[in-house]
Amino acid sequence: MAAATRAKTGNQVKNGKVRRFGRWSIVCHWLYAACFLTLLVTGFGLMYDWLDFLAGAGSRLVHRYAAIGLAIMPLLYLVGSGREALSHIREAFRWSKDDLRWLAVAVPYHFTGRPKPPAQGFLNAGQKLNYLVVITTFVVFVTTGLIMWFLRPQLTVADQGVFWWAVMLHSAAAWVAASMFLLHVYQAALHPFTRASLRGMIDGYVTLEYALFEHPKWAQQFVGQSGSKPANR
Amino acid sequence: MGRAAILTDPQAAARSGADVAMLTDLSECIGCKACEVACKQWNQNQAETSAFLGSYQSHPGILDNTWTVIKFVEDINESRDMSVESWQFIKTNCMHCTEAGCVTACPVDALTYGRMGTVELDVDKCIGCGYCEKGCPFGAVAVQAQVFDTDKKAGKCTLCVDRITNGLPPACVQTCPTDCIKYGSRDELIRWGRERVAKLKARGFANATLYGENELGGLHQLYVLLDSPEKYGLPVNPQVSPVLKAVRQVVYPLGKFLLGATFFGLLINFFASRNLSEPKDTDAPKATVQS
Amino acid sequence: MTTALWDVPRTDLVVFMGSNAAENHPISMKWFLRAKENGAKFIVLDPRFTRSASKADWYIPFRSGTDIVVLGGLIRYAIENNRIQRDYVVHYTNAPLLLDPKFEFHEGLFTGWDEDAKTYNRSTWTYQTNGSGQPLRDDTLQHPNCVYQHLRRLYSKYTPEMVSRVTGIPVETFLQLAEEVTATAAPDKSAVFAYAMGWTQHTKGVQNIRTAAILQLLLGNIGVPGGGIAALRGHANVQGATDLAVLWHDLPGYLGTPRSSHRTLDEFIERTTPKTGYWINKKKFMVSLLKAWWGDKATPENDFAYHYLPKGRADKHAYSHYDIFQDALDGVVKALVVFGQNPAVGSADATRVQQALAKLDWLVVVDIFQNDTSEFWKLPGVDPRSIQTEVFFLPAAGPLEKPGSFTNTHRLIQWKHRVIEPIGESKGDLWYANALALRLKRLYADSTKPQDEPIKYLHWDYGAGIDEEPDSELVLKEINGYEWATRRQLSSFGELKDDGSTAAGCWIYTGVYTEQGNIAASRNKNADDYLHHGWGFAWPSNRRVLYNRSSADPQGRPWAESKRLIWWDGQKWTGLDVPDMLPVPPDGYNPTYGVGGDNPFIMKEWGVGGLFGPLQEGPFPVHYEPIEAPVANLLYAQEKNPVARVFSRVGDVRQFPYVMTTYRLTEHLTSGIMTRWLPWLAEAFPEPFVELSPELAQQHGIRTGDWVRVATARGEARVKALVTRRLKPLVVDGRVIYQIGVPIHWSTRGIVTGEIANRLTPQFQDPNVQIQESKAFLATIEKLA
Repeated sequence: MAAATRAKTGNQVKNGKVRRFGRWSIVCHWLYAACFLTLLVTGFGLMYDWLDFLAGAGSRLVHRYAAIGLAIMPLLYLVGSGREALSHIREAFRWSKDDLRWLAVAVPYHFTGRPKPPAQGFLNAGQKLNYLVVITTFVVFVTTGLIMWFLRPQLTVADQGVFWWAVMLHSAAAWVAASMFLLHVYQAALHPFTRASLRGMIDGYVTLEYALFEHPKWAQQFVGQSGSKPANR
Repeated sequence: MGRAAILTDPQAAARSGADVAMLTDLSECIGCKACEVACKQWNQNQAETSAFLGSYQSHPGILDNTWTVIKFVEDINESRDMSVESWQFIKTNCMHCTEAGCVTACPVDALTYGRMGTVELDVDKCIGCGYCEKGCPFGAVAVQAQVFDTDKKAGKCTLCVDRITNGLPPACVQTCPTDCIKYGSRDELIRWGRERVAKLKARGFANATLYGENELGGLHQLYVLLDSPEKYGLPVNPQVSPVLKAVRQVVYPLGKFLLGATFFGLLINFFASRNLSEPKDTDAPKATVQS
Repeated sequence: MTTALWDVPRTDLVVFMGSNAAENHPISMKWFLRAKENGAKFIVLDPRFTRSASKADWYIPFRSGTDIVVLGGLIRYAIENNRIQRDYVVHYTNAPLLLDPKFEFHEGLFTGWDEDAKTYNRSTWTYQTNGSGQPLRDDTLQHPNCVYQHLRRLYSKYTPEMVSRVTGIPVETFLQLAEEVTATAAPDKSAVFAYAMGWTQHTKGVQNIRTAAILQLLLGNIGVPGGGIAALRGHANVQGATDLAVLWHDLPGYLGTPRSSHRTLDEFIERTTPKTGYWINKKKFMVSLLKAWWGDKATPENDFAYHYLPKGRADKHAYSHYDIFQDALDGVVKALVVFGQNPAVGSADATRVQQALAKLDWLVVVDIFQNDTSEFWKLPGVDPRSIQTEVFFLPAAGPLEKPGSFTNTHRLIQWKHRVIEPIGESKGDLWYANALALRLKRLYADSTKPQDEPIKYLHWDYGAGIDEEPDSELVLKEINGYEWATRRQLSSFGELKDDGSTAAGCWIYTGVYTEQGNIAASRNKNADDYLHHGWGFAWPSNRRVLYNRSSADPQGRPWAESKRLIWWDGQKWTGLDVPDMLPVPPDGYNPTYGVGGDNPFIMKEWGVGGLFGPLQEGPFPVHYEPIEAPVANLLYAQEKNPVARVFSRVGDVRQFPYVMTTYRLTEHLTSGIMTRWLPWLAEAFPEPFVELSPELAQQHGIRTGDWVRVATARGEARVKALVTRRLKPLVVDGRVIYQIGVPIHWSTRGIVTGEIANRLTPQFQDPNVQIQESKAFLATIEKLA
């Protein structure tokens, strides 16, 4: 896996930092995030009374455009950084006992630092879970969205159920995805253990210390490599 | 049995504020469409010319700017000689249900249970999402928004709430030349309707029925039908879609709970984890530098 | 109509034939439905299953143009089965009167037919009289020359089998119908027949109605509660237009028109007035009319200005609608002023009408919208370069923009007020009439020519100068009539005199504007009076049911308790309506009028209802096939109405095999000018169509929604197909006959447009009233790619 990543992204170690994501992946990530956030906000306008001000013909239009963006982003991701994307997805679906054990202790660990979870690879179990949620809800969003958008005029009074099934799955997916999104953002930006990871989604590199701390099974390969140096903290 | 169109003094009805209704006696509807025109005129709704429908019907159904449509249904006697058994004219409009699918469906509370038994639509609040369209078991409210429309709003019969609350009968009632559209207190209309049905049964219409008395908790648009509701394209035992109800009653609360719980969990974590340290050399396996 | 719509709920049987009231008279339909509600049977006979048929207990399809066969069959059934109201027939009709022994009928022609002149010598169409001029009678109805026996013989051919062969109504169905209808011969039963254009628009339109009148008289159903013949008029004020004689053959109040052969007023009265019955007062009405028109210039010395009246040419029989356009085509009529009419679309054989317009020097059109007549040069197939006609369009005020009156279908005159001021420069018809009259008077003011006197001396004072707004109430006051010297408004036409002391514009309206004010504007609601005498004014004399004396038996007692309307209370005629009777006791006699107390039809000769009644084509109605018919006349060698007038090209059944009818829809009015320009009405029915049965559609591979070409010998129209089981093929004389129908409302102008159906219809006319045969003619149909 490491070899594959290197092949695609070139320099893996730079100024004591290790590369986590390719540039294209980062672009796609943020665009997807932007679309998702837009969709979330415009969608929640319909679901929360206090967000009624967000609901409206304009936001419906924005929702439609963002939906197009969201729908094509994974395609761009796969086309633009195919190997990296595939390797990540493959890893997201590859679950070991360590992953389960990690999940089992994840909550107390993130509150107290104890007990120590098993060592994780390029993706920890939480990130794998995020991947799975994103992929699953993406499929639900697109499928039900297409029904609500394009099949709607064909739906007669008799088969209104189809529409409401679509609404049900679409909104359920929205809450699941929103919750995961919140967790994801929190972990990446705020939690002391993981906030160093945010850099990985900005310039692609994280400190070796962080990599070894959160993803030891993956980061071990970089120890002693040229260009990498331990952080001085 | 009175044959007047107005069974309760509209002034008195407006003062009492109790539930009113309309009753359409289809045994006396002549399909003249005067109600359609009166509806458009009072509400100043735009005309919308439909393509040829192959019948006398003016519009395929209720549209956002066409709130009253008479449906023309030819009932063919297939068992005998394929001749026309009857030609039914069914005035369709919002039923003003007691348990209304559109009110359940509306995400912005533009549709509410309003005055005098009506279901009221606040067009200023309406965002044109079309959920009401899909929530109504009668097809009696419409948005017809095209994909990128931003100016469409829902439209439906208001039961002339602006008239009835001011002591006037609905416009269609006032205009109906045969008095087959009636207005009055809902109780009075039900009483009248039952009597009428009994009379029709005595005249040989064995399947005559009063529609809307109990459907969806009671409709505020009642019908005297000469035959079973199916013959008129009216749903027998109409229901608000159970899936729609599940969306509003189960999925929304659960989803909100999930997101809320996540949010508060993370908030607590934020404070709880404040003293935890970021990854340090000591925590990590030994990293070396070869320069 | 002879009755009032308010009276219809008292009937036991409603028969719609030639009427589609649900679609064309929706307001009236309420009363027919109330009759049904009260237990009356409701039967609709129509070639098409209409919106009226949808409300009937029983719908019977039949071939268009064969009404007289159905009705004649009913008459035969009533006579053969003694299902007549005998006392009524003997006393109230001319059934017992003996006809000239030389009068007879043979193979479709009556005595006196002149094959060369194509007209009848009517000298034998008279009663036998005694020395004092009174008709001989046989109250046993057995004398072979009595009217009743003539009827019996005439209709003996109209057997159920014959009815079935000609009309397509199965024998069984017809017999059931006959049972239902003739059951109302019972004194406590009544039936009302409603008709409209479905009876009139035939080459024997008047005779269609006559046949029904004969049947109703035999059944004792005229003038009784829930009885009568409901003539449903074409639109809001057709009755008023007829009463005020916007017609060629009448002066206001049905006074007829003088011909050039009537040299003096007395000669006109003498030759056109019955010697008995209320019409003997005709001179009073006539003099009052002349007084209203020429005032002080109408004096006993100058025959009340009778010579000012235009006279019909002796050599020309009619000057009706189609004659005008025929004369325009022939270069006789050079100019035309058209008020509120759109003949380029609304008249039969519209192409011919359009060609006639192109021959005019000038044309004035007064309408609320630009229409196809005012812009006829834009119509398809018209080459504007070849037209020299100068056209003036004047904008008219709509009905709500002017005050005035409507006389509705049951002769009820109702005043209406102006609701809004006319838009822009639009003016009411009265404004235009006033401006035109005063301008003409100004032009002739200094003339000394005698032929200019009718205009120079025209009495014209409606309170307005040339460009001012006339007072329409002054018009109604003049129509009502007043004492000339004092201007005192009269309250009854009984006050009219033939000495020039009274003036009245339309004698039958006297009482509509009295010293008490505008009675047409009265709006008294009285729930106890089911005939609503405080509401508006019904001519004559605010009478709601005509001939209502016949609701009582010869002795003056109601025929039945349930049918009380008018009765003799020992001193006078009284009841629920204004009695239609001379003040003569039941056993009395008024020698001046020649009418007895048991003769209710006081407007008729001898005060009796006319089973026998001379018209252009004979004194009894008989079946003639339409000018274009799919079958030969099975009853007579004389196939068609011998005096029908044929202006248009006649099509052949081999080329045009289907029976076609045209009609109106609720949503539009006539040529659509008032409705297709209004978005809310335009959308109510946007497109023209042809209705046809699935059986016929299948033969041509036509499906609903296809474009179809409908063609006749006159022209063609492209319309959408509406395939429906509401049209049924009929078996006529062993052959399958298909009927199709096209509504007439569309043209090339308006929010919604379509091809002109009247390009298909023929100018074949009834000889009495010159109406066109647009309800039964031949057509063909083909699918367009």
